[in-house]
Amino acid sequence: MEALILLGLLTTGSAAGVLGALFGLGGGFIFVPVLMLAFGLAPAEAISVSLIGIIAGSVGASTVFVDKGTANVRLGLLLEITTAAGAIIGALIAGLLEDWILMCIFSAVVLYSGIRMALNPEKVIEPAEGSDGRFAFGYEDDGGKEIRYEVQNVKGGMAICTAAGMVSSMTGVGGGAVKVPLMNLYMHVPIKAASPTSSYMIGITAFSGAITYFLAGTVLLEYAAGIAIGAFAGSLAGTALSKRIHAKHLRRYFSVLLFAVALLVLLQAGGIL
Amino acid sequence: MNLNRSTAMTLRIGIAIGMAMIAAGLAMSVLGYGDAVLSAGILVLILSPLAGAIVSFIALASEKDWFWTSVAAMLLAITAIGMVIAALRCPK
Repeated sequence: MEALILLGLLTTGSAAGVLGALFGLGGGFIFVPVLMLAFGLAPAEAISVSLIGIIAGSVGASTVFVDKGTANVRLGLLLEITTAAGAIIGALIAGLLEDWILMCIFSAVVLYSGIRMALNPEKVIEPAEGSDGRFAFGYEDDGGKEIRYEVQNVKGGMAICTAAGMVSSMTGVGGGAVKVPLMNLYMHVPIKAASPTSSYMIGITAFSGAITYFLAGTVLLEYAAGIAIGAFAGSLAGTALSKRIHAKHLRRYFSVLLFAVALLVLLQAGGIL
Repeated sequence: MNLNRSTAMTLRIGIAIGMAMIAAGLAMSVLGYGDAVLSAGILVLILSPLAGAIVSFIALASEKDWFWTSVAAMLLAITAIGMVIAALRCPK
């Protein structure tokens, strides 16, 4: 492998790793088009390398976020059940619906989430005093203050995760871009917990796909290695950076990022990317 | 067994071993010594999130937190089902 290609892979991986750790996005929306357009990989090759990069970024960020307690492991496991179920359903019915239709729907949902994120201030429901409800959680913010929140609309959130899992397994885009706004806007999880929780979940989501590609032998190992090393380093940088960003600003940046994701996916749907 | 600490520790061990093997394996592969180490390193990395979820399940069970233990168990079960279906649909 040429040094220049390796450098390119490391850079791409780091950029996606930073974004992943900051916002809870996997980075598939960066990896797949870049690997295909800049590195000339076939779609299946690009997706398999992308999945391994997503795992490296997710696990890297989670070593910090899970330890700190900002990533909510319990909530992550719960939402991952229906996400995984949706992914299986999606894989089984793939081909029944045109990919571009799904991508347009996805794009519209992400755009809507971005607008809501930009306009509506964060609303966190504090658990009642002394309440020890099943869905009452807390974490310590960067100033050492205890933040408590009670997760709302749990059943609805699980149902939407089924749809998100279906779409992402059928189109290869978007776990985090749906899950973070879902947790933040609909389930009232603070953004400082929603993004790390999504970062954590994304690794588990990517696992199933990655192991399938790995066992089938379609993974380009050297490409995967370059992307994974970059994504891991980027994710650690991202966790350090996330401490310096205030929740209000994080949400604003997130909404901008969602608009970019919506546009990118729309371009992919139109066959331009 | 603390849920967050044990899960994070598992992920840390997985990524440390995986990354060390990937870096060494990439160097070996580029220098023409074959890609066995690289391949094994990638496999360790891929398995890390699953290992984390398994340890979460054990930690929740040790806390006798049965609601959340069953949540973790359901996730592991559905992941296993997904893998079986993927293996059946993808005959190499």
